[in-house]
Amino acid sequence: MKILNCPLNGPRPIQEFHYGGEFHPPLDPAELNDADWGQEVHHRHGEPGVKREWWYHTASGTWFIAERDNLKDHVIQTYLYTPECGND
Amino acid sequence: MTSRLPPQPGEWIDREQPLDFQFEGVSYQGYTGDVLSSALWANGVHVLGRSFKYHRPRGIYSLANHDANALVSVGSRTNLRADCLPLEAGLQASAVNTLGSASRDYLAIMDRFSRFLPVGFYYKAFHTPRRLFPFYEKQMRKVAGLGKIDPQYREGPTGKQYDFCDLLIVGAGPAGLSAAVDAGERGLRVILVDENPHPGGSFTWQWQRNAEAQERYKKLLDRLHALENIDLRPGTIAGGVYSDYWVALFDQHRLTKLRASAVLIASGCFEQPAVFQNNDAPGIMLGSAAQRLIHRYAVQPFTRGVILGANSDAYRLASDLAANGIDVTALCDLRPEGEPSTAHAQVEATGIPVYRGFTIYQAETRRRGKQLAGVIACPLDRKGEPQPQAGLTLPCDGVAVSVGWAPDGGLLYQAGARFQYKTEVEQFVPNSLPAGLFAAGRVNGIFSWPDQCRDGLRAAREAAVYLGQPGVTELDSVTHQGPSPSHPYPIFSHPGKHNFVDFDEDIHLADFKNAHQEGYDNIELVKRFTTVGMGPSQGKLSNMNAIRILARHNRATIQATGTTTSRPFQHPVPLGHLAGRRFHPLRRTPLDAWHRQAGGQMAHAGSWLRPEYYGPADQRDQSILSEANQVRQTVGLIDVSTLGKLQITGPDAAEFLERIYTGRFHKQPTERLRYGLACDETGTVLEDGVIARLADDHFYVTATSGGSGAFYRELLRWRQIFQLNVQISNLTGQLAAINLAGPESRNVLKDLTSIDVAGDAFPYLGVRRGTVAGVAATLMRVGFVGELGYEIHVPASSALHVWEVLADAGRPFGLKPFGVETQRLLRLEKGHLIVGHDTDALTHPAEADLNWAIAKNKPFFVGSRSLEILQQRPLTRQLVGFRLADADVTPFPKECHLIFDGDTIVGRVTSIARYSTLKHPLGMAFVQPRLASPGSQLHIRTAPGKSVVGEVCSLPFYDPENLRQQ
Amino acid sequence: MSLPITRTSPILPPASPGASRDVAGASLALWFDDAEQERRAAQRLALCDLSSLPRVGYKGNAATNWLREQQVPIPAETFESKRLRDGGIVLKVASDEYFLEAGPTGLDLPPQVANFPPECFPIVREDSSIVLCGVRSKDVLQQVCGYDFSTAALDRVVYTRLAGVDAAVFPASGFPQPLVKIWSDRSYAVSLWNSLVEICAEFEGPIIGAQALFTDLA
Repeated sequence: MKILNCPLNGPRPIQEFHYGGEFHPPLDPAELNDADWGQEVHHRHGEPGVKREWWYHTASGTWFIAERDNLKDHVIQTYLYTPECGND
Repeated sequence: MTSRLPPQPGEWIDREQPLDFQFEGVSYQGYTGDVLSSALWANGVHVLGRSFKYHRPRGIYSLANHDANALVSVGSRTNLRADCLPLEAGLQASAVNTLGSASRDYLAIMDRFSRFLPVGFYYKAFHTPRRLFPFYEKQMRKVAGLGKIDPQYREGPTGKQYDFCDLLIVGAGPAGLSAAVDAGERGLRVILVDENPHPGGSFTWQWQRNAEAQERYKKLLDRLHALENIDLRPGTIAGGVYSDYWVALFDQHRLTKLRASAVLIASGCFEQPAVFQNNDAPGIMLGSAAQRLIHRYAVQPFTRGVILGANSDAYRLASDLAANGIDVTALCDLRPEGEPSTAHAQVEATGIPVYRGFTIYQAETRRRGKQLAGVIACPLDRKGEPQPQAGLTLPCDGVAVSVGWAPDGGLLYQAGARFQYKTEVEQFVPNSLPAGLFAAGRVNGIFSWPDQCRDGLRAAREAAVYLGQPGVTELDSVTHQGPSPSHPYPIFSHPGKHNFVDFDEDIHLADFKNAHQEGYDNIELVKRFTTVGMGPSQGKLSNMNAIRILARHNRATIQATGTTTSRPFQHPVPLGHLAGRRFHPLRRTPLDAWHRQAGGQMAHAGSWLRPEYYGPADQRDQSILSEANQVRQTVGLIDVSTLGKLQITGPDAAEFLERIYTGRFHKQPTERLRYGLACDETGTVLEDGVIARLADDHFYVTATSGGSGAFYRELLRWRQIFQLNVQISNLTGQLAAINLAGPESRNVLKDLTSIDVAGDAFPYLGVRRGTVAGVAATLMRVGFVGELGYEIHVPASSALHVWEVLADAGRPFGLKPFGVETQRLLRLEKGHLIVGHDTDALTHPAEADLNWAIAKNKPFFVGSRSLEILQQRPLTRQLVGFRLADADVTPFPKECHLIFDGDTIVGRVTSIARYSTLKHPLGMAFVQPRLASPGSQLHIRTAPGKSVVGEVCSLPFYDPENLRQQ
Repeated sequence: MSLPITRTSPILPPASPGASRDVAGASLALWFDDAEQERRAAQRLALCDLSSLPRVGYKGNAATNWLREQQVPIPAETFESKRLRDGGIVLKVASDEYFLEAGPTGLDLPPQVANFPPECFPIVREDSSIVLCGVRSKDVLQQVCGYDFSTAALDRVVYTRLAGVDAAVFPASGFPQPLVKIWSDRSYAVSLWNSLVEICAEFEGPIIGAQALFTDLA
């Protein structure tokens, strides 16, 4: 069973967490045309590699971002969301 | 007749404690410390079981916990390996997979047909004609499988447990013990597991006559026992290694989920069989098995034996057997050059004849294969082929095979290690280990005990460095010296086809040739086709030879041929240990006990337990209808504590709600409620509820019972993304909610509360804070069930008090509690949808006629952009109400029944009620827009070829002017 | 002054208590059968339901200051705690959020006031409160929780999952025996309690009243 390191609560077994999907930098919907917006909300690609993912520590109610290489199932780092996370 | 030897130094049996036991109904005596196999062997019982396919008699082979042909049943427990089943007083064991007994098995006739049963026979023979398959299956089930399970078996839940350590060491042999002591003396928390009841590994069987080794063993144990931070767990199997060194440990009682920071595998090797004709006869065993019998259990393996060897171990074994009074007739060494070490001279000194470049060509048996009579040994030519014409007959009652080893590397593979085949040792050896994983000893290709101790120390130091220990002196790696411990091809063909490669599954050498001819040239495919390695021992005694055979067929190297995938569990594990105790927490409202006492029919509703209605289970419809009428006519009381209840506070609270919900909240007056509809980013309806403004910076929000947990989670995420100054508190479990509903509700409440409940003072969609029954409460005027009503929210600890006061006060008005099924009926009559029940994962507001809840010209809310796109598109379906003329139609439609127009699906029922206070059945359905206008006919298919006609009507069914809830 | 009993624990007591006391409108069992036996059990292994104790939360940027004004000691860091006057606990659960549980008198929480300053919001906290105590409580925790409490600091809360229930677990100092407090959502209290009772029973750990924990109550 994997260990995930919650930035606030420290390393915990994976069953304490809820997966929140891939992290997308928040975009301004007004700036996208219909097709691009559709891509933004519906398109999920399964290409393996390093992904940014939302994870939630249920007991403490903590959302954070994990950078995970889903090819190796290796978590590179975890951190709390800040608005800077949107800047790739 | 007994084969028990005089007391041996370090023996595991306790001669002070003899035990009586039974095998196949016959009584025997053994000792505490015996396993079933050793006790039977001591009593001269050499047929311990029958093979899987041909029912050939089998005895002890490895005595290393993977003798898969000696499986027994004891009471309700079955498929127990006799070589690791501790003997207990009164034990009654019987062999599995026999018709009759192990000694006289009527299915032994299968052996005569063996030539007609090549691998793949069952696959090919019985799949056509298809109509006969059930017959074939039934017949085959009678003879297939091993032990019989007891369907009546009952046992309480086995607790699983978590555990933690710095370093887990698997295997307490020379390497593991040395590593544990070194790591322990550094202060690391060490868990040392070994499958055997005593630590020591090869110290306890191979090096018993080596004084220096025994001295080291004793010292290691003394140091080990002096350390409190080493947790030695004998009788424990490390069954599997999972992510981040989560290791499943199994002992007699339970599964332990161990989290280790680092893992050191010193699991050793499995000694491997040689393949020759009748190599499975009872009395033929591995050299290590013979030595285990002697040194651990003080049992003579045989009286007159032949050794088939190909390494130094075989020579030490010969000396060991001779020293214990066994007549070793011959040592056949597969190697033409023989043994280069001093071990050879020691054997010669005992006068045992050594035949270099010889193999055993075939074993001879008597008594229908149950007893070994002798062997025919013959020289090998330069290619390694046996020359039977030059064979010698050697009478004997036992053969000890010592031709090579295969690593017990399963855990290493599972943890991500890579192995390389090294010809210096003719063995796969780990050559790349992930961080935190270490290997030492025989599994690492190290075969002498001083080297194993050194290798254990080396690995422990590396682990200490990995774990961040300061001041660690690292050691150089250890390499194997001397001749190879394994022979590259101890496999010999024979026309007799009883030269077994896999004893579990009775697979012989020619089966591999057939598989190869059929085109199976990949080790994983060969495994599936021949079933090699798929038996109870999972190939511990067969995979390596199978790889050697395939490599030769493919004319490839062993490295290129590769290994099969290692999967948990390393050893068979009782299913009860895996099932164990499980936790299925259910949520209960503070009124749970009251509901039960009042006859509430409790049912699962998401994670909650709720009363569906009150009354006998056989009067469901009547009870629900009677409760509904009560609410419509006088007053009812329902526990709605499962409602999601969120408190949103802070200067940005209104702004936050504006971004989450489709409506507007900045200008919402205090003490007023608004309907709240929330969508996700794709515009799908996610949640609905009411939003009460209690102060400028304080909102109280309800959400659906089923969705509120996930909704709360999403709100927390949006709070982070929006970076607003707002606090979100989930009060769902903290507060109870009670809905007092019905025309008399005001009269019930008015004397119990500090709030003025007069219609003008507390209008519909108002919210007030005050007390009810002396308890601080928030009251909301909502109309979910369509009557005058008050939703009363109080701290959960006070819920029972408030409920009982309300129930008492309502008694003169005929107040009755009503359940969640009744509430569902009432809201359906009112045309209120339930999000997640009447909507699905694609429903957008327009489809459910919820566009009225979307504020116009709002710059942003979650889902707004998607809705903007969706609103431009024509609707593909609409949620409508419908009625049926007749409640007695059968089968009656159910939720999710489809609606057809001819052969085309045009809709789906989302809610339906057979009996309602409106005297006719009614429901809601998604239908194509062309069918959405009142009067349209809906053909609901209730069974193949049967449908019921419903008629679309406008919503709500009940009180369309909404007068009653005002 | 004794209030009428208007508050109840979600957990039904195993038997009528031998002695109990009123705490803020609820009944708190002091002992069930034999106070001395329960005191000994508490040293070894026992379960106690303290859900009847009152508790409250405060959130918002002004919460820290307001609590300080109420003479509530403020823990320095998130997840840390301080002791209240009568044995109660104040926990800092986030930078702007506190959780307070009263001691056995029920009187050491800040007074309820009509108006809080802006950005200080009281939060209803009706969590269930279960105490697992004794030297063998480790054995029980190991069966229900994947967190290694042998390395956990005292008086610091750990948010984790226990027997499938999200909970705040608090290894507390200042008691006559090793002790963890387990706070969870009240709706899960019965499930969690039943799991713990079943496992404790395997280790012969009984259900006890509060007197074995709070010796002043004797």
